[in-house]
Amino acid sequence: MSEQEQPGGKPVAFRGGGFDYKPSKLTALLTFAVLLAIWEVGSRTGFISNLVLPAPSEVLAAFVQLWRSGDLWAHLSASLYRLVLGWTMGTVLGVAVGFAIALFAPVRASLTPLVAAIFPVPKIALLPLFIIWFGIGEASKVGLILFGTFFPTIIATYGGVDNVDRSLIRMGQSFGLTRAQIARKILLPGAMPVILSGMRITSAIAIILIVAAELIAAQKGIGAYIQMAGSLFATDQLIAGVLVLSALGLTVSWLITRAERWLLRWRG
Amino acid sequence: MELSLRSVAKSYGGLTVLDGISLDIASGEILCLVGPSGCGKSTLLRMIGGLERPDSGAILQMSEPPANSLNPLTYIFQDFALLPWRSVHDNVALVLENQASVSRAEREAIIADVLARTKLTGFEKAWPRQLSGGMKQRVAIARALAVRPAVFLMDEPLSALDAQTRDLLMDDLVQLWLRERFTAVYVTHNLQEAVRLGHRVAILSRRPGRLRDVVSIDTPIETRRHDDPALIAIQERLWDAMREEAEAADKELADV
Repeated sequence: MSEQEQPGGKPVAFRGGGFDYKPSKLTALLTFAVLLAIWEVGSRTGFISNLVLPAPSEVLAAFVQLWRSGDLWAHLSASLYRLVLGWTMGTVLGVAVGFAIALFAPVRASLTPLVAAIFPVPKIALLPLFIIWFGIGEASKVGLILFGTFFPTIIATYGGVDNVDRSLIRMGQSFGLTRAQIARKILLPGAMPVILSGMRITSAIAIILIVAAELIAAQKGIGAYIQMAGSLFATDQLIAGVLVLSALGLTVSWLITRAERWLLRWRG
Repeated sequence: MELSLRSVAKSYGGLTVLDGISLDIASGEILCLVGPSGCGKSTLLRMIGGLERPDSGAILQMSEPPANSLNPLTYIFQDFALLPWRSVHDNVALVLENQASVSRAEREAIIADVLARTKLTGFEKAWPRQLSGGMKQRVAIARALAVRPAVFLMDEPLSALDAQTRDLLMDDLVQLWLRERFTAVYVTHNLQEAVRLGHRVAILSRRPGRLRDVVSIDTPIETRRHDDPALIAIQERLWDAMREEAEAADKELADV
């Protein structure tokens, strides 16, 4: 605090700073390690009942067992197949319909109330109906994810297109670009940041929906594995399944971050 | 290419913005449109380029544009209107991609040429966000040059720039005009720009925007200097004509 006194005056007191954020990976790792250690010790000493929560080492053993038996891949591939298929179709259709709403006034007038009415329905409530329509197999689950990602994508897309700077559209018109060229070269890239953040949300929705659907009605899939573990009180397997879901979510989010970095590299 | 405006009028929701505007713009002439904010000068420019329709009156092309002109009426915008997701090169390429008559090789040659003319060679791969305001506007000028316009429609092209950059770019525009002798309608609220670049200066009044006066400046553009007493006198005269209107505009709430 003792600043050097200069002849003829004293330095102005410093009162900035203090709100800077300094990233620290070490702290994060340490927190993780300390929590795991407390959990492990708590389980071993019997402070945490084994029935409520197995020790981390038991969860790890259950995961290794899942891996070795080949069941991990069987369950994961079943979930991934439904996820990728449903999410891709929902996103492609959602972007297409969102663009149609943004570009054509009659489409907007007729579809936006419908979208607004269906959007807030928790889509998992439609699973029984989808099972009646499409049967107990894959179609009902893929359809559920498609439906669940379709509406948020529509809303993100036309919101994104509506937000593209109007002066850029006028620029395109003034250079004689056609409507289709303006849509492809100005509106689509301009709406891309919003579409991508919509994708981040719909990917989370898709994971929630697939697990919920598999909990209710499936032979294979991570949700089905967790459901089976739960009914056998095998909490070690149950938590191993939850960890797989965490890894799945992190991977999807990482992929979208990579896509954003590449597609939005112009933002710097 | 000559343009002729015949009693052009425009109103928005009962509010008359422009009324009875008649003007002729000669080939190779820079016509400056000045007026207080809200006088409809940008609206008039949008109508001249066919981005808006007049309610009555007509805007006529009095001759055919040169055959090699790809986009006879070409704008330069105040906010540059560059696509942020396209590099300098690709922003210029955008306006040539839709021209069926321009082959890929020709397109590259045009881009290299216009970037050289606007002193942007070496910046082809830069993103717009990396450029200064002056460079962004030079990219926009390069993009406009690429389509070989017959008439430039400039909507306050220097208003978003700081004073020093504005002076430099004004010199660039003078050099460009001396080489190309283009026709231009130049909208500005800056009288200094108007007397530096305009062969004639048209003053619009506000609400409704009417043509109040058209002042010719005889000093050749290449010999004009900041301290030329004749130009200062013209600037004073323009300011006298605009002063009351500008004061009234200043007291008004935006977007009533």
